[in-house]
Amino acid sequence: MTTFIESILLLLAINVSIYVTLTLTLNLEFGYAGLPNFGKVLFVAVGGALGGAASYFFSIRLFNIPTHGDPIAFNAAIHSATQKIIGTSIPLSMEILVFALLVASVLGGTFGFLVSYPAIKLREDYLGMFLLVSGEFFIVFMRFLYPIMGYPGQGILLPNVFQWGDILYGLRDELVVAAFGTLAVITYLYHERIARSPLGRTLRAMRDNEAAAAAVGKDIVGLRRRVLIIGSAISAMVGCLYALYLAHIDSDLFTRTEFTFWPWVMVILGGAGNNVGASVGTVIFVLILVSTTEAGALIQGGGTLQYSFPISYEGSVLLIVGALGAYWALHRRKRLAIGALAVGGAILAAGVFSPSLPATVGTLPVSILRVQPIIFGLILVCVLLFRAQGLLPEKSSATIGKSKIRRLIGPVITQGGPPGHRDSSESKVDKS
Amino acid sequence: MVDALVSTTVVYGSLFGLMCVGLTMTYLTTKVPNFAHASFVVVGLYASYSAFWLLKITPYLTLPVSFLAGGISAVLLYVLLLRPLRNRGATIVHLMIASFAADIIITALIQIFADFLNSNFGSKLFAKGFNPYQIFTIPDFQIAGIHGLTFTAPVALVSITLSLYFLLTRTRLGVAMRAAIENPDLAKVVGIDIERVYLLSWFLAGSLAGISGTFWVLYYGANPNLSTALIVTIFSGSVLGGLGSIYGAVVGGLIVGGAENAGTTLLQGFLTSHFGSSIGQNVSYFQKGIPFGIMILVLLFMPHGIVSVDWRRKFRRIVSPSRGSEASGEVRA
Repeated sequence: MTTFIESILLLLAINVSIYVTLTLTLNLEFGYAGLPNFGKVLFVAVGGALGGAASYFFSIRLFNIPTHGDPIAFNAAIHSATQKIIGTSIPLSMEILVFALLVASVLGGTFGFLVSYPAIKLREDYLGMFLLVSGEFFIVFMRFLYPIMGYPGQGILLPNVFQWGDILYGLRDELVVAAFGTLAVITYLYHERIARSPLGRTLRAMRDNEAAAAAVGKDIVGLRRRVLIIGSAISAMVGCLYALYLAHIDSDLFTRTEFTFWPWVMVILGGAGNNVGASVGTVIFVLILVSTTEAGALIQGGGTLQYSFPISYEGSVLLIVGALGAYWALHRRKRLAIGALAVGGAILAAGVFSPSLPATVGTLPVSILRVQPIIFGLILVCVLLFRAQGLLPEKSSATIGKSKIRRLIGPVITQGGPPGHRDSSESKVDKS
Repeated sequence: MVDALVSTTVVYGSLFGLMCVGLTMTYLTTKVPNFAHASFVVVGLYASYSAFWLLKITPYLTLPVSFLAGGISAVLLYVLLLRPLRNRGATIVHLMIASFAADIIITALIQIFADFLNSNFGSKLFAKGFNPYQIFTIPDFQIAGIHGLTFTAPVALVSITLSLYFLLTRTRLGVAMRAAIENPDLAKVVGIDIERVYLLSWFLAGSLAGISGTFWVLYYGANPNLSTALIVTIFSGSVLGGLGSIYGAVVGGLIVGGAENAGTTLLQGFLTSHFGSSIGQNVSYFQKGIPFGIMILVLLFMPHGIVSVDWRRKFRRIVSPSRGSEASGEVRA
């Protein structure tokens, strides 16, 4: 039993430490600078694919491993030869890791600059569309990179730079968590420092009123570009670490749902423009992710989750009714929000986990992997509708005390709308 | 060979013309860059596919089914999600992420539907060579060895464009729609029911996408994840069309879709003859590079789209981006 709990805790820790860094970068881009980065997967994939491939070819070059002229076809032999050398060697593993991370961050920053070139001057809707299109293009184009990252669906094995943790101490996953966690802590401190610096306040000013920021001489394009380059470089490092953690890359590894949509859900759920909020959002998201996956596995009774477990038609009808009822209750009476959520959740659970209900008509095969995107989509939608500022809303700048600000400019600061609802707050100002 | 290239290019361009019209229409009326637009295509496609197998009718008779399915899903998305968000004064980024979430949800629902088809009718469908997960098509009629779609898709695009023209210029509802696009507040003052206009625009956008789904499955393969591939070309075509004019969207979709098809085919021939078939058959990996490249060029050199270049004079009397500053004026930040 302890091993089960330990494995769940490790799973939670790995997922949190992977996603918290991505969420923080997205929070800098969207929450502080107002850049709608719908192409996060592009930068993660650049780091994962190119940084991972760099670690592979670097290790071949470093240890003079014979490739027989074709490093992709002889991948398995090269991999085992590499592992014999770096398996127990901490410095050599670290050398490869650091090199791959450096390559990933430089390439990520370069891609951030390249992508920013045509679109950064444009309005946010054009920018968001362009970033989404870039990401979609790149993750399909990656399949063409088979000379360096293996054929689609097969991929290549990368040097397992965390194997010494397993061999020497039996703690590979803990080591991975430590590596991701270090990156996350550094990113957090860095982003918090940016947020408290003049740059952070400038970014917020730019987000809230671009024309005013430009009018007082702030270089809007330069600022946005700088933010995108920072965010992309860090995202690429996350992608590279992820590939090295799996010790395997494949051109189908990075999907839009997992590496663009999920960080967005975390940021919106936790609260845009607030680093603590974004981190809290990540933790809640991962808790839901892991618990639903485990519940699905339990109900299904083992096996891979690709295979679906059936729910009855009655169950699916209950599910739809519950969702619509919760939506209606939330919509009409805000005070009933929590109660309605509880009722809706209960009905949802009854609907999803009702294989024992008598199935008179037939069953609908539903895998938890299919339900998860719906759950997260609904969470995002509910947060946007009913608490657009997120669980932990953005705070005013920490330069001078809040009471002093309040004394200086009156009650406006408490009246201002949530960060996402600029239009309404602006219109309030206009009327006055 | 050339005939096949021309016909597939025309069909592909026409379908994307239909899709871009809808995206531009909802963008014009409600200012939502709808990331879920491509999933209406897939909804219509699956509705058409199911009706075809259930009723055993010619696929063109399933057009009303896909029309309704696409339109209703678009109206539901607007009424349940985007209208409440707009009423709460959400920013455009929040509308974008909400429609992104809708795309994810609709795709997951379609996957569940494909699971359902597979588990209940799987053996029947497999026996006929149709797999609801994988790439599938519906047989189309043929005239003298030419695919029927070659005639019907362009005809559909032209007739729909003409009917939209008549709707927008000759009917009260169309004039009301144009008024609501140009100046919603003023339109409200003179007694136009703006909500009805917005609902109509969402219904039309979804139903046109649904129709193009029916046409799509007649020739090109489909699977539940199709929307992620479609949205690239749809955005590119709409941006080329300027996101401010319905006719611009038709032209933009035609050009980008046609360029994608023709470019991919020509490139495949070129690569196969020069570098061997192993590279040539992988041409689909950078197929989306063509709309992507067009989008980059458009954003760099004419961010107001094709309408800002030479179409302005011809269509001055119709929905024109040069009138309202909000419609497409301040593209540059």
